[in-house]
Formats: sequence, structure tokens, C-alpha cells
Amino acid sequence: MSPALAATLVLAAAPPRPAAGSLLAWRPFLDPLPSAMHDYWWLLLVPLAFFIAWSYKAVRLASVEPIVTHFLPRVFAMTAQIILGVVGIGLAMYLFIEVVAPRL
Amino acid sequence: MPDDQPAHAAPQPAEALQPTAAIAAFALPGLGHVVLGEPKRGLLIGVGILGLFFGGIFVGGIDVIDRREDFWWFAGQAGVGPIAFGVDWAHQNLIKVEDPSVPGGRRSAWPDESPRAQKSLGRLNELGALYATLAGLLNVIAVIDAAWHTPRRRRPHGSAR
Repeated sequence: MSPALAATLVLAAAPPRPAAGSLLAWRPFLDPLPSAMHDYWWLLLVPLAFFIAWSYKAVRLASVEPIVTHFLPRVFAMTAQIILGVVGIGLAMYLFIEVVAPRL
Repeated sequence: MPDDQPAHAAPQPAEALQPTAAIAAFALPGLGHVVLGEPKRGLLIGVGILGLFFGGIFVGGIDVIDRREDFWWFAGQAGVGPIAFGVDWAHQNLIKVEDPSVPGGRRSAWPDESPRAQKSLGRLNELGALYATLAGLLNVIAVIDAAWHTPRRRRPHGSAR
């Protein structure tokens, strides 16, 4: 039996495996998020900004207590500042590249 | 002095080097502040930094922690401490396979090889690596804060800092 035929038979005998990229094949923390998430990658800015704000405020605030009425409102405010800052920079870059640069 | 007095009511206590707290903060994010007697702050720091680090692995898979292939990303991720080195060890030794073309080398497995591994690509790889790297850099700030610690004075609840 040729090695190629043997390899084909081995693969054919293996149990069926869900297609890569499908939710069934996805193993959290080992595989990247399913490929459907590629279209919504920009949404990942929100948890990124939230965790940055959380960690920074946990170190920086003079007092973290009470957590619900003192710590969390400042975390949400900084999260909003980061998101607005990133969106603003993106908008400014878009305007520069699409509007300003072609006229130079 | 009562806890709710403004910070300017008394001179700030002197900053002091706290090597034990610094080592603890590097060993586990937030532990340095627990050692310094601020358990809630330490818990919040730990949740934030480990949430960011494991959030990055959740987004980009374990492939985003790779000391050999993404050295400069890992240089930032190493700030998380032994956890980052442990995840990298698991990636190198349990997920990757031997590369016969390079003596002692290891590479990501092909789709039909075992252990099965899915390479992280594109935006999800970039964002996952960014999450984990920012976690490391934020922990460096926490380590510095624990190492040269000034006990906080509680300010009135209207003030932001």
C-alpha cells in the first residue's frame, strides 16, 4: 500500500471534526474567537477600554470605596473617555487621509 | 485623623520602598496591595489586570502569548508575571509540535496534526495580543505603586482622585 493511500485511509477513518471557524469547533482560550467575529472586531474596543479604566482607577483613586457609588462611576467615565478619544482620533485620521491629503 | 478629611489637612506620609510588596505585586497582580493592607484595592487591581490578560487569550486564543514568535509583544505581556510565563510554557510545550527542520525547534501544528491548534490571525490576533500586552504594562504601574507606596488618604466622595 502506498504511503499516500495509507494516509488517505487514516484520515477517512478518523471521526468527523466540525469545520474550523464554527462554534462547535471553538475551544475557548485555546482557539481565537470564531471567524464570524472578524466583522465585529471593533466592538472589542469596549471591553478593552473598560478593563484599562478599571485597572488604572484601581491604582490611581485615593479611595476605591464604596465600589458601586465611587469606583464604578469613575471607571465608566474613563471608559467613555477612552472610547470617544479613539473614535475621535479615527475620525481625524479618516478626514486627513480622505479629505486633506488629496488636496496637498 | 478621621478617614474622610481632605488630603491637604495633614502632611503626606513619606514614600517608602516596599520590596516585599513589589515582589508580591509581580508574583500575582494585586497581591502587593493586599500585602500593604489594602485588600479591596488589591482585589480590584487583580480582577482588572487578569481580566485584561485572559480576555486577550479569549479573543485571540493561546497563540497571542508566544515568547518565540512574538517576542516584543511578550516583552510587554511579561509584566503580568509568572502567569504570563506559565501560559507561554504551556503554549510552547503542550500546544506546539516539534519542528524537525530546526534542531530543538517547535512550531504551530498543521490543522491535521495533533494536538490540534488554530493559528490566530488578523484583527483578532492583534487585539488579543494588545489586550494581554496592556495587562502587562498596567501591572508594571501597579508594581511601581506597590514598591514606592504612599498610604492613600480618603478624600470627600465628590472628588475624582
